[in-house]
Amino acid sequence: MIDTLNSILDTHPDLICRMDKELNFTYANEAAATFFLMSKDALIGTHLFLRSEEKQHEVIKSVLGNICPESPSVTSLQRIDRPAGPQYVLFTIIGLYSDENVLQGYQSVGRDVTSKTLLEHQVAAQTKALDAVHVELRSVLDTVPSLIWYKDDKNKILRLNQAAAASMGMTVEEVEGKNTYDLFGEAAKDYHDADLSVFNSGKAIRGLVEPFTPDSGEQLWVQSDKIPFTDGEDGPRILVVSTDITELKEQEATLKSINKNLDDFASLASHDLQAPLRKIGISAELMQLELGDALPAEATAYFDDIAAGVNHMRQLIKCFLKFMRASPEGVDLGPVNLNNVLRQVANNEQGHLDETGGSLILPDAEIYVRGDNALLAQVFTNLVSNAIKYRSERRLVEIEITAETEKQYWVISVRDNGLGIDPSFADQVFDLFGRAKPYSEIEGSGVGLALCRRIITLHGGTIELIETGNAGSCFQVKLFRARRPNDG
Amino acid sequence: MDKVLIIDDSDFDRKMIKKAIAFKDDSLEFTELSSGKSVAALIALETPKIAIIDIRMPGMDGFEVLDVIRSNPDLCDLPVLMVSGSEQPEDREMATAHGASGYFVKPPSAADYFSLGRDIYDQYLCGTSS
Repeated sequence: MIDTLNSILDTHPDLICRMDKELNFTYANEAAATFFLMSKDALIGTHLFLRSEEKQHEVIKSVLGNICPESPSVTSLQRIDRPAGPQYVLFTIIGLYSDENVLQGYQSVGRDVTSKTLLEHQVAAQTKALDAVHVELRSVLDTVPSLIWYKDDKNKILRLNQAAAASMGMTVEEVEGKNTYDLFGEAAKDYHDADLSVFNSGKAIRGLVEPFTPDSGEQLWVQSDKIPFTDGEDGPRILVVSTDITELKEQEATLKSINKNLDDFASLASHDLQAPLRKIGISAELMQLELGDALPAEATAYFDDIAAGVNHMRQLIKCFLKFMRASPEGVDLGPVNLNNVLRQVANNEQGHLDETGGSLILPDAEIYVRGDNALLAQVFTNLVSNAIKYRSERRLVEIEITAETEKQYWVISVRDNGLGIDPSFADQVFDLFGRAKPYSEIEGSGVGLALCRRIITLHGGTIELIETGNAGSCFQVKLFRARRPNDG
Repeated sequence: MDKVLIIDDSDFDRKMIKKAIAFKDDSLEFTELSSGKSVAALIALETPKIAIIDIRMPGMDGFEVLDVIRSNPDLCDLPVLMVSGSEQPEDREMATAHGASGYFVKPPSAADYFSLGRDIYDQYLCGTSS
């Protein structure tokens, strides 16, 4: 009978063996023999401790110590280190007792659970890693100053960061999983509608500037990116990242207000300065018209001086107004062919050059810069006409405009052989009404170079006086390079 | 006798406008106001042939004065010219929007003033004397 049973067990895939109470093997099937790396016959009669690692002995003793007639069976997962890697076997050991409860021996069934155990270890490791990622993600989310929400298409907030929750006057736990309608009532509809338009189009909206009223009630401004995505089979999701730009908006409003005030001031100043000027000019003119015959001859010369002074003052006011009104809003920056601008300047100044016998050399390279055609023409007209105006009487005017690239800039140099500027006044040439004093007898408004600097600054560029002296001056203008626009 | 109403806070400009128009016809009668505060009462008593109003005045500005005039149904056809001390594109647009008949910038010279007076006379006062 036992032989029949053993022959059935012999080929069973589980490890089956029996031992006497001293732990000597009395039976082992093929799987058990393979486990102990021996043949069945060689295994039978040997002691368990001879077939196991020494470090396992205490464990085995401890497991067997738990077996008693009342609880004759124990289960134990054993790890065996093999050259190919660990092997895990789940042993169930049953104590075999006589009718008088005297231990006769042991029967053991072992099942190789290596694949399952390794899989469990792998899952546990991945779960731990996921938990770490989750903690890391939460920490990143809660550290960034932006407000971040994940929502579904039903307006439910699936996840948000602390900044977003704080902006709603709540904690992350209070908001996560809630529907926005439950939190904000009908006011949530606007947000939902905006989200739905993103879901429907499937396209992200970036840089959306919108008012935002948090729990505190104070209206803020946020700039939001709304990015749609799908989360597996859970349906469409939207990621909303908002940055508080309230301070920026306030600064922008302040800047606009300052610009408006400056513009108003310029208009007012211009109007208030024009009125007395008109009065002086017209009164002098009327006096000459009505009392002309009665006035001494030299008075006519005085009237001419008054008229010239009034005209000069009128030009100064005009220039001042132009200077004050050159604001970023008025500048339309696009690709400008600077060669065309310089040719136009040369044509306009040709008359003055001919009068003085001067020459103007333009650069050969094709130059495209980011700028405003009219304003750049004004800058180079100023530089060229200054070069003619402040010429040296000892030599013919020579003006050379050259250009070279430097990183993202075109560097345009306007070099002349004029009077030059006293180095001690060089810093003041770009100041409003800051004309080079030694040449103040030469007519000029003192606005031209200040206006040039203002225009170039509005272009994001620079203008500098890089050389000056008895041999002339060189002004350098740096402007952003632009691509040549496609023809047609 | 045709009346010309001039409203301007500048004595000098009122004098010049009057002088320039009167140069063409010294029989015209001029009423000068340095502000638009009393314009409603004045116009109700004596309707002018034309009103010339400065835009920038302290207190009530020229457009407010024009609104008061245009709010009277009897004066909706009264020619009203708006005057500015310096060229402001928005002034021209505002003048049209408020229902002005014309807009001009105060001339820089006496000769230009006389030329303007002649134009105003020819367009609004010539041959209409009653």
